[in-house]
Amino acid sequence: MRESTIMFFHYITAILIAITGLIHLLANNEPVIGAVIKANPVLYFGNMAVFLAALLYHAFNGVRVILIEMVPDRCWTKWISWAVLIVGIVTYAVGLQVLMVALGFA
Amino acid sequence: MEAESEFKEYYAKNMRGISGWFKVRAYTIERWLYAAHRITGILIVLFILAHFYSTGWHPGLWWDALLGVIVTFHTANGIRLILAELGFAVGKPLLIKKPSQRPVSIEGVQRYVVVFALVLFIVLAAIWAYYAIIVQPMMG
Repeated sequence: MRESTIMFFHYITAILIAITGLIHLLANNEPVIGAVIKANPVLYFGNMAVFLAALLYHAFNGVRVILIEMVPDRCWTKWISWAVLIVGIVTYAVGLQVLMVALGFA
Repeated sequence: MEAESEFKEYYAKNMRGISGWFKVRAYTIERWLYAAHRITGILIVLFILAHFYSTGWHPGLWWDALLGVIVTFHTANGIRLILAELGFAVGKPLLIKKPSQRPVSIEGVQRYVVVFALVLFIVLAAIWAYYAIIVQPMMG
């Protein structure tokens, strides 16, 4: 993927995190609104699934950008990009599994 | 011309590494915001790793308020960066005529966006601190 496309998704996920992260915070810290969100497990799980995906993309891409900037080398860039992608996908899979167990979907 | 290519080559190698983030002397506030954005980003990554590893872990009470300062700064400054990326509030391009002249992208309406981002940061951090210090202990 082109670097500009990756950064475009970086900004898209930033907006997604702002929305889903707010719902995540409200669900766990706001007594009234939180009770409404938690009463709907599908909404809670769906929000968490999107939040986790966006957060992992944004966080791992942020780390990737810093790492490839530290060592400006084509080979290093390629390896670090693949490593970050694989670690990100594995983390998402494990995270979804944990969520589904915690919420009683699995 | 040769000096310019040497100059570009030097910066392409990124010899300064992480210390280059803190070369903020004589720069504008945007440069400080850039360094702070990176540091808060790394701190948030460290937090979410702990938050994942021990599911739902958070530092607790005053540390939660500090976490709020970190997260809300990253959010508020991130909104400013997205606006700049999309071309809002950057200002019209202007030919730089003298070395002391600062680019219009950090002189014009961008000033107000910086102030907006900092005010938003303070408001969001205050709301977060209220929930971390007052509401959360009451919920048990």
